[in-house]
Amino acid sequence: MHPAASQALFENEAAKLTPALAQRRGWVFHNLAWPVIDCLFTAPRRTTLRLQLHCDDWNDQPPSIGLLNADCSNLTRNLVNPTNVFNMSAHPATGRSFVCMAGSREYHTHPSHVTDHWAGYKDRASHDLGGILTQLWHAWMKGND
Amino acid sequence: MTPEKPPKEQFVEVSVSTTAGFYPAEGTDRVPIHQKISVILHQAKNKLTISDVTNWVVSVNDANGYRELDPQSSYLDSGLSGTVEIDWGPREGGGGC
Repeated sequence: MHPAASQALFENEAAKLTPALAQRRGWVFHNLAWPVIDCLFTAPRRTTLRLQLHCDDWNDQPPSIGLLNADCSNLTRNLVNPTNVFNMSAHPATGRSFVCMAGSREYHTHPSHVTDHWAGYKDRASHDLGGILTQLWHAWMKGND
Repeated sequence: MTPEKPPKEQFVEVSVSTTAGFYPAEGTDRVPIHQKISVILHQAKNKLTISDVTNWVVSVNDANGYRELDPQSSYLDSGLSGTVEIDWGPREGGGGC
């Protein structure tokens, strides 16, 4: 996709991630400007999780999603993770913990899922930027650390 | 002998958040506590012109913590009262790498 079209699509979807929605869900955005969404998931009695969604070539490619501590350091602690969405083992390509869920670049490039193509998801409402972020939030909310 | 009055209907104040917007756009809707949660979801889907809610999940995060709700249940049966802030969006997929 042409970079300008990718940016326009990103900005259209990012505009829906409003301050009211963020307040409701405990999301704190440090960046919502193309091509990066930098978001904290916060909740009472929980350890904050920081996610960076690198959305270059959106939406021909899904975002590459970094799992971070609140201070932006790489996440190394084990997340209590009943859904297995947050995979704390090393991804073969990045060597880092990763999001194992359709809609994450690391999922679709993982040897276990290379046949589960992003093209089958990219036009679904559940896999626009807000949909992916919502899915990640649901997964995180089911943990308890 | 005075005939018994029917019990007074109770209400909850509900708002639904999605990444397509809030329903109602501002504030809350006052709905009977015995009403199914699916009723307001249907209204939200129409008003916010959400085309596909396949695999979406309803949740709340209140004093009792985060939990998913059965949309076919009422607010009362779901243990909800007062002001109810519903989140509605796609359930997480994946796992298994």
